Amino acid sequence: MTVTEIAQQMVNVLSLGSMYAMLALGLALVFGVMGLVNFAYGELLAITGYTMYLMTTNGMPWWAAVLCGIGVAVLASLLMERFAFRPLRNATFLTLLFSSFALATVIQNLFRAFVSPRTKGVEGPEILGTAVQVGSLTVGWMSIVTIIAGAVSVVALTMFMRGSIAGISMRAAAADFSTARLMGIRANRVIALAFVISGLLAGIAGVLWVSRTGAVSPAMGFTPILKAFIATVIGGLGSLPGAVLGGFVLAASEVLFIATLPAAAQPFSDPLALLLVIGILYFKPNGLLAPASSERA
Amino acid sequence: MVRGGIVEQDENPLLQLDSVTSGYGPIVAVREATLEVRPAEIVALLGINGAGKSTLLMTIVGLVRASSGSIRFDGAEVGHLNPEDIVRRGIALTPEGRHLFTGLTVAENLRLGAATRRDAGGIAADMDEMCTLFPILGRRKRQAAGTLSGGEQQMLALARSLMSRPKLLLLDEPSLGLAPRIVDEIYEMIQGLPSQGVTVLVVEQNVGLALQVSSRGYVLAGGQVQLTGSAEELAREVDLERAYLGAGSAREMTQ
Repeated sequence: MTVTEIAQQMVNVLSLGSMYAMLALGLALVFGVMGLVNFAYGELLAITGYTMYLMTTNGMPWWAAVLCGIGVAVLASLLMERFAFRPLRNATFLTLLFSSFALATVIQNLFRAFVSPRTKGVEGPEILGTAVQVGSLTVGWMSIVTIIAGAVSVVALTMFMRGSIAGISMRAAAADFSTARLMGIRANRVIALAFVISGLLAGIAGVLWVSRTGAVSPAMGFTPILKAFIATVIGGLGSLPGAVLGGFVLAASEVLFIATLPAAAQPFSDPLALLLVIGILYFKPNGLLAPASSERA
Repeated sequence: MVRGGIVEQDENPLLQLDSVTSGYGPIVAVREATLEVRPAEIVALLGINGAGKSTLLMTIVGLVRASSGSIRFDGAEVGHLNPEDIVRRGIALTPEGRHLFTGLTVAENLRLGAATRRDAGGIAADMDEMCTLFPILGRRKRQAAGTLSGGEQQMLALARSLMSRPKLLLLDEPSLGLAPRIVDEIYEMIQGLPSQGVTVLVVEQNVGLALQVSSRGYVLAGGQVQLTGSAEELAREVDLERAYLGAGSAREMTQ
């Protein structure tokens, strides 16, 4: 490959990695404070997508649809926490896992029943389909927006987690829930906050996802949650930096095979990428950056 | 030898346990324990491993739910409350094994001790005071708590508890696993607490050490309060051994 082609693929990795990193962060946040891998998390993207679909088909402007889409994702995330997961607060890992699967299925069927079982198109601003020339590189506006959104999200989240008492409390609760309660930190509030931030990330990712694909469908949440889960496992379940790293590692792996495989072998790009992931996990079963809570004081 | 000074005392105890029973599922760890702690006292809770001392402290703070009996703090019944609410009323617990947030920095751990406070200026001032009181913490402020030595971690755990400006401090085995010199430093610190408005209930396996700083003590065995008295009385008590072994000791059973 030429230098230009390599650079082009780097941009793809950055863009795809930013998306996966955002998804993984949202999942890792909730896992950190609750020990729950929320398989209904992908549905938040779908909820954002359907909100945008309903609004744009009813004549609302794009920016309003985006804001509402994100807002609805945050609300839905809070509702999930309050009614689906809080009653199961002390249940086993498997119970929580299956409950989240059940929730995902319920939500998907609600889309099928109340909107349509078929894929629907969502019209976005035309500029997102265009590209810009940077030297010899062609960079799509979609990629640029995704990378910026990812960078801003990661920086903002880092500042929040380190600089605010709410963020520090969340990190403490993720490390040692009982001792955090001993500090007077309210369990419910910390968990609710994790779901709010998670919902916010899902909302932003949902806007980007729908803009990129131009469509919504009842099962569209499946791929995002799958990617998010794989990314967090690569990075180390519960580690936030790990989630970001995992997102980029997964993206790099996928882009590597998409770029190097001949056209006939393209269907194998995903399986080969995951084979690479298995290889990574073989050497580092707990992920690349195991979280600090595994230490003892 | 220094005795804990008894300052002017209220009639009303700060902490009062009445026939408290608690445990873990089918295991009863604390059996009808009755004790009290008066303001500005240092009270020792003694007993061998497994006597129920830690469980008793955790029951007071709400991490373990009492199945019967009453716990009154500062005049109010608190036995039914969550730990977050009990702690906000002015109790702090420095748990056995310290339970620091190892991945977080010294400064962040201290900041979390004051999580329930809203006065930013006061919190900052107290953090500075802790770093003055424990200079080693000041030097290691930005380091992860997990990188500190055992003695330094104990100091951090103690400082973290004090950051909430508690009325009552529950200490669980502050000397465990520490070098004698560090233990002396820590106990010197503990002795000064009542004069700063902090009442102390300290669990210690090191009987001599505990009775040096406290004015009164309770001896726990098999989850029950077997003996209580002033520090002098307990230090002289020849049957302390029998109290440790509790009812059904080997001697009684062979008769």
